[in-house]
Amino acid sequence: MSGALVQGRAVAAMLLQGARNSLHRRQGAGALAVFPLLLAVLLVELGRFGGRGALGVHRVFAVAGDEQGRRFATMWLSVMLAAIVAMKFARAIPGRGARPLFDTVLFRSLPVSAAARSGFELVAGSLHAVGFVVLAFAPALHGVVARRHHGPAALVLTTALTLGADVLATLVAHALYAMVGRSLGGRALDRVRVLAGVAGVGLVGLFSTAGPIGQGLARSVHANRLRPLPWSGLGVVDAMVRWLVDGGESSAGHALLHAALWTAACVAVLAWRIRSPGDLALDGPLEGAAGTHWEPDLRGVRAEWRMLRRQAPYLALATPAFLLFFAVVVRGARASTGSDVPWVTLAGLLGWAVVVQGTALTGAASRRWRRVLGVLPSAGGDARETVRAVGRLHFALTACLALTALMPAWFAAPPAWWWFPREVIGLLVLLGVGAWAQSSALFLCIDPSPDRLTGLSVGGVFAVLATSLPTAALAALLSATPLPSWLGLVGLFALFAWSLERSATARLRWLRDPMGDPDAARRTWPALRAFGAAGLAQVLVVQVAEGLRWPASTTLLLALGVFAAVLVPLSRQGARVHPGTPRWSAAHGIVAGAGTALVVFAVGLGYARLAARVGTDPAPLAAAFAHTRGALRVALVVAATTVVPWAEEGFFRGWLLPALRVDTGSTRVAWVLSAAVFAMVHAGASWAPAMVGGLAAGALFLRGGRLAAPLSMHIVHNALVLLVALRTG
Amino acid sequence: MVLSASAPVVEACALGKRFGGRTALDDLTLALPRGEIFGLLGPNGAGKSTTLNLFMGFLHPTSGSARIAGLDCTRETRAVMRVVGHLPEEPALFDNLTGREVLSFVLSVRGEATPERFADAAACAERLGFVDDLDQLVAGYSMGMRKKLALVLALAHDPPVLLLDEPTNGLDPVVAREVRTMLEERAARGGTVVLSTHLLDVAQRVCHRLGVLVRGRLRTFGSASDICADAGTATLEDAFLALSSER
Repeated sequence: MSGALVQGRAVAAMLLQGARNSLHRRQGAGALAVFPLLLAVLLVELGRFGGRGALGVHRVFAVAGDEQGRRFATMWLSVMLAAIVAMKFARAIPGRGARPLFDTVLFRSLPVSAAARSGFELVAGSLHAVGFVVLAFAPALHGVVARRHHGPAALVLTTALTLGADVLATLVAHALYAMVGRSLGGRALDRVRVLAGVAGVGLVGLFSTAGPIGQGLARSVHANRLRPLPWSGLGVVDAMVRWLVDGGESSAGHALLHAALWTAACVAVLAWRIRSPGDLALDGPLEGAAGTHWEPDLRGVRAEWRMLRRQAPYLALATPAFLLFFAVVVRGARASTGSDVPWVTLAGLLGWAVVVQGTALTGAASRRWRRVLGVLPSAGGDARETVRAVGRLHFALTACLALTALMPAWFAAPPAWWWFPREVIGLLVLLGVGAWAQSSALFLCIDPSPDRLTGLSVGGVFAVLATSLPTAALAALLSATPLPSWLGLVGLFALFAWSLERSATARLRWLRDPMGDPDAARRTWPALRAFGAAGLAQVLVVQVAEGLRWPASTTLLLALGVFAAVLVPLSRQGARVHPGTPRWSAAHGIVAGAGTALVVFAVGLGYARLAARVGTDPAPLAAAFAHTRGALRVALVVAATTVVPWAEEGFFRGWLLPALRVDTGSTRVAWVLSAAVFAMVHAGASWAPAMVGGLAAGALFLRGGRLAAPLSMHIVHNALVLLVALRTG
Repeated sequence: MVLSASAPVVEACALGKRFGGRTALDDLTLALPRGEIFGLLGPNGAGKSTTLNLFMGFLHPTSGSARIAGLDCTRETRAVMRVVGHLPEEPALFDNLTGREVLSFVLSVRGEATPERFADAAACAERLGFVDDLDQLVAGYSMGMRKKLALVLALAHDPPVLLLDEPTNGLDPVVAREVRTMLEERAARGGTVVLSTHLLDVAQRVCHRLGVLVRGRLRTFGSASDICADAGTATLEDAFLALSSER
C-alpha cells in the first residue's frame, strides 16, 4: 500500500511538473496571456448558463408541481450523465485516460500494479474532464438543489454532487471500455468509440434544445405539450433527485446505495479486466506501437487524404456538434433580429477561426513542424510543397466545419434560391485562400528553438488571428457585397497569402540551410504583404462606411487614416532591415525635394490638361477635395500633406525600394519597380504623373540616402495639387 | 535480486503468439544464463519485437510461457519489471518534462530515487554525451536524444536483465560504440542482455550468441561462427540472407 502511495505521489508530482513546464516552457507568453482571458470568459459563461439552467428547472417545478418536476429533472440529469459517460468512453472528452500517459510503454515497464494504474487513470480522467462535466451537469443540478438549499450550502452541494457524478461517469466509462475493448479491439473499437461520441454529442444537443436551458420549456410543460418519459432516468439519479427535492434519510440512503451498487459493479468489471488483462494493443492506440507511429509524409494530395481520414473521428464528432450549435444560434438570432444570416455566418466563422484554427492547427500542425524542423538536415521535400500541404489539409478540415455551420442558416432563412450555392462556392474559395494564408503565416512564425516548437506562441496566436479575422470578415461580406467587389477583396487576400507563402518558404529554406540568407523572408514579400494588409483594411473600412451611408469625403478621410495607421508602423519595422546611408543633410534634402516637386507638379498639370481634353476623370483626391467644406476640408488638407506622404514615402522609398534592390540585385530595376507599384496605387487618371513622381522620389532617396528629400517632394506636390483644386474648384 | 549462477535467467518454453489468423511467434524455446549477451536477428516483421513484448508482459502468449529470473512474465509482471531494464524501439517519453525530471519520475515510481542512483544515471548520461541535454524538455529532443534518455532510464535501476529493442539505431558511431562497451561491462558483471537488431555487424561484435527469427520461427541459434558453419557461408550476412530467403 505504501508503495502505491509513493507511486501516486510520484505521478501527481509528474503531472504537476508537466503542467508547469507546459505553461512556462512550451506554451510561452502567448498562452499565458490567452489562458486567463479564456478562463474569465468560461467562468462568466458558466455563471450565465448555470443561472439559466437553474431558473429553467425552477420554472418547470413551479408549473408542473413537485412530482412531475422531479421526473423532468431526473430525465435531464440522466440524459446528461449518459452523454458524459458516452463521451468519456469515446475519449471525445478526457476521461478514460485520454492523455496516453498511463498507456505508454515507459509507464507499463515500471513496477506499478494494474490496480494502481487504473486508479491513476480514474483520477486523471476525472480531473481532466471536470470543466465539461461542470458545464453540462451542474446548471440543472443546481436548479434541483436550490429547491431546498440556498446560498453557499447549495453551491457546495452542487459542486460535491457534480464531482461525484464525474468520478462515477469515469468509472462507468472505464468499466464499459474494459468490457467491450477486449472483445472488439482495433478498428471495430474505434467505430464504437465514434458512435458513442456522436451519441454523446447528440444527447448534449438534445439537452441544449429540450432541456431546462431551452427557451419556453416551462410554457411547453404548462401547455401539456411536453411530458416526462415513462422511464424517467437512471436509478442513481432518480434517488439523488428524490433526496434533493423531498429530503429524508431514507432517500439519502437510497441514493448512496445506488451509487455504491454502480461503483461495485464497475470495480468488479475492472477487477476482472485487471486479473486477465488483454494485450496492450487492444487498449487503444499506443505511442510507439507498430502502425500507430506518425510519420510525416507531406507529399501530394493522397497524403492529405490519409491525414484527413485520421481526423475522421474528430470530424464525425465535431460536425454534428457544430450543426446543433449553429441551429440553436440561428434560431435564437432570427427570433431576436429577424433576418441576420450574414452576421450569423460571421459569428460562426469567427468561432471556427479562433477556436478550431487556434487550437487544432497549432496543436496538430506543430507535430508536423517538429518533424520537419526537428530533423532539419534530413527533412526532405520542397519547402513550398510543405507549406501548401499543411494548408490543403487544413482547408479540407475547416471547409467541412464551415459548411456545416452554414447549413442551419440555409434551413432557417434562405433569402433567395441562389444564396446557398453562391455562399458555398464563395466560402470554399475564401477558405482555400484563408487556409493557404494561415499555414504560411504559421510556418513564418515558427520559433526554431527546441522549447518553442509546439503549442501556442505569441507569433502563432498573432498568425492565427491575423489570418482568421480577414477570413471571417470576408465571409460576413459575402452576402452583403456585390460579387465582383467581393472577388476583388478575396484577390487581395490571395495576394497576401501568396506573399506569406513566399516568405514562409524562404524562412523554411533558411531553417533547413542555416548558411543561406537569413533576411530572405524579411524583405520584399513582407513589404508587399504590409501594403496588401493596409489596402485590405482600407477597402474593408470603405465597405463598412458605404454600408452605413457615410458621406464620400468622410469615407475617403477614414480610408486614408486607416491606410496610414496600418502602413506607418509596419514600414518603420521593415526599414530597420536595410537602413539607408545618409549622404545629404536634412536641409539639403528638403530643398532638393521641394524643387523636384515643382517639376513633377508641372508634369502632372500638363498631364491633367491632356486628360481633361480626352475626358478622363480627375484625380480622386482633388475631386473629393472639391466637394468638401469646412472642418472636413481642413482635415483632408492635413491628411494629404502630412499623413499620406509620411506613410507612402516610409513604405515605397523607406522599405520597398531597398528591399527590391537586394532581392533583384539591381538598383535600376528596384527604382522602376517601386515607382510602378506606387503608380498602381494612384490608379485612374493620375497614374502617369504618379509614375513620374515615384521615379523622382526614388531618385531623390537613392541620391540623398534619407527620406527627407522624397518626403519634402511629396508634401509640396500634394499641397500644390490641393491649392490648384481650391482655386479652380 | 540475487540470481543463481547456473539457472537460466531468461527462458522461453515453446513460446507462441498469434494475432487473429497470423502467427507472429511460433514455438520459441530459449534459455540464457547470467552474463550472456544474446542477439535476436531477423528481417522486418520476423517477430523480434513481439518476443520482447512477451517477455515484458505487454503481450500474453497464446502458447507456451516466458520467464525472467524465475518469474512468470504474464502473471508476475510487477516483479519482472523490477529486474528488467527495457528499451523500446521508439521510446514514448513524457514531452512536458525535462530529461532529468523523467529520470526522477521513473526512479521515484521504482522507489529507488536515491542520490547513488541519480549519480549513476548522470555518469551513464555523461558516457553517452548527453548530460548537458538532461535539463531540456523532452519535446525538443531529436530521435537520438530520445534513444539516449530511454537507455539511461533502462539502466538507471541497475537491472540484472536488459531487454533492448534496436539499442544503437539513430545513434552516431561514437555513442553506438560506447553503448556496446556498456553492454559488455554489464555482461561481465553478470547481467543478461537480450537485444533485437537488424544491424548484423553490431550483433556479431557484441553478442555471445545469436538467434535468427524468420516469419516467427527461430531458424538458427548459436555463436556467429556456428551460424555461418551451419549455413555453409563465409559471413554472417550471407548466412542471414540464406536463412531469410528460405521457405
